[in-house]
Amino acid sequence: MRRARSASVAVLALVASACAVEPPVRAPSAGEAAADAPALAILRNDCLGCHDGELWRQQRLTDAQWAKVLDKMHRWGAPTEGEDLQVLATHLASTYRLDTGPFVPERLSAEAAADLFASRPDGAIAGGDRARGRELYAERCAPCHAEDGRGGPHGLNLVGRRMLERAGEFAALVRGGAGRMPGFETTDAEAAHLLAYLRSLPD
Amino acid sequence: MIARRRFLETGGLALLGGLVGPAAGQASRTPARELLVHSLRPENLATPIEWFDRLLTPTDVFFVRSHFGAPAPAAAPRLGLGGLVGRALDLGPAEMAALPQITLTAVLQCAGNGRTLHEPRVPGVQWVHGAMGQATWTGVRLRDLLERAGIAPGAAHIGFEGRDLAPTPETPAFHRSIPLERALDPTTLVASRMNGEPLTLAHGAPLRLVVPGWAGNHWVKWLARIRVQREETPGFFMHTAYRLPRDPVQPGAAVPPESTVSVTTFPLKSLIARPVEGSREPRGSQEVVGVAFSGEAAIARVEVSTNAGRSWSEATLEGEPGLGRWQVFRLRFEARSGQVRAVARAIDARGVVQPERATWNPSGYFWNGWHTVTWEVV
Repeated sequence: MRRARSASVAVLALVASACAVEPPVRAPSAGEAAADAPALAILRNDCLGCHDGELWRQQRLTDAQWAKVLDKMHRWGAPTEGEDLQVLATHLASTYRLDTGPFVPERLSAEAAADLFASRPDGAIAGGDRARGRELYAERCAPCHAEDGRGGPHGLNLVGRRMLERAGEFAALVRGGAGRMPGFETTDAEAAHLLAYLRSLPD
Repeated sequence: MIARRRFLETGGLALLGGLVGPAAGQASRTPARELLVHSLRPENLATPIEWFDRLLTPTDVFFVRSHFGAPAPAAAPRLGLGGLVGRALDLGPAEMAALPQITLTAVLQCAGNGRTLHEPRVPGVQWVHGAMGQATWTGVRLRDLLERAGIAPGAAHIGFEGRDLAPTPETPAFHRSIPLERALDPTTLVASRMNGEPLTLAHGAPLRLVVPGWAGNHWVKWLARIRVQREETPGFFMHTAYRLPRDPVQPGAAVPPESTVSVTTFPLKSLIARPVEGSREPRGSQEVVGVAFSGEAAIARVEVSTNAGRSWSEATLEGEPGLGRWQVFRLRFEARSGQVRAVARAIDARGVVQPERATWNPSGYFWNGWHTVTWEVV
């Protein structure tokens, strides 16, 4: 029971962070000492927008393999470059190596897994106007996320994202920012306008 | 903050409820309803091995693999079919439901299942055994759709696009194609139901491709568009990823792209679901249970050793033999105190024996070595 309970707390933290608005970074684990803070900051800002940390924590690779992985991620739009890239490469290659202990996946209940895919009622973020949303989008979002919403050099794709069906989380993200994205003061009505527009974009 | 609080009130409690003690020894035969998290964004969730003791894997514990995460549900889902056709189709749910519906049972297995067991290690989702499952799939034959549209001369490949979009413009789209011949196979479906229920978003709702015997990368989810083409779909997910060396290579070798072929059928494999590695089991009569399958031929028999491979006994098989579907095997034996080391190997209808060691390849696909499980009898 003791083991089950501690596992559940860990999963809870993991899931809560994935659903919450702030970037999902868990407390540093055994292999992630305080000295790794600069690398963890890069991971948080440059990597967590597209995928969570489990994807790198489960790898056991050589330096050369890590270099190839980082090169691929860079070609796929990861913004890390220069000295940051070196810090990141050193951190990953020294933390997730061939002789690092086994990766033990967290266990997630079937109910919690189903909830990952569930939409949420719009609540207070409802009744938006698509045309108003289009204006707000052009002014605040398009510079980074591109005119068509499919992302650009400084922002990720927004078209068809599941967050568009979780209005509360969407509004919180717009207000709070995440990673390299700054927060924007946004009323419920403005968030609803933005949602109305983003939901209308063709996939 | 609202989102987090809501989670704690609902999902959190359900989560704690779902995590009460995994089955200890033989006391319980219903495994915990859990998935193993390889990542939550995008969703990559594995089925715990204890669930591979039955013919059908329940949908709520069926593994999930996604490259970019599931998209938001479509407000008004349509399926387009265009390209080299007599007349393009644009079908809604009612029109799809009006077409003849086929139900079949098939294994869905990720090409990378078992990647973490390959030596030397390779990057990618580090699946152990849980990126597979068997379900019933219901839907329309792709052949029926293609015939309705009319295939024009020159057509050789059928392309598929799902609604899941890459996170950045630089990231290649997950677009796939299969050869026309495979598309016309009567088992290739555009499915809308899984295990008798409408597809869930996690498993590709409203429509996904079903290509029995072929690895999961062909089973395109959230299917929105089908294109009849002259050529294979281009791009990373066809011409760089999901490829195997044409001929076996030394473990660790680099393989130039021109020496690779697309992954298609998954090879012969068997897996022990129970007992699980490191468990403690009571003395006396006990059972080794698992599944065996191949995308290349039906299973003929499964042999199990309970003494680390010194001698083998033929297991009993349940379920219907067939290409790309699994059968459950069982072997009952008398267990004495001490350590038991069981090994399973399958033999297919052509007489091919599952290899003791899997063939290494640079992307870590299709691990299918003999599965060995060790436990204590007390």
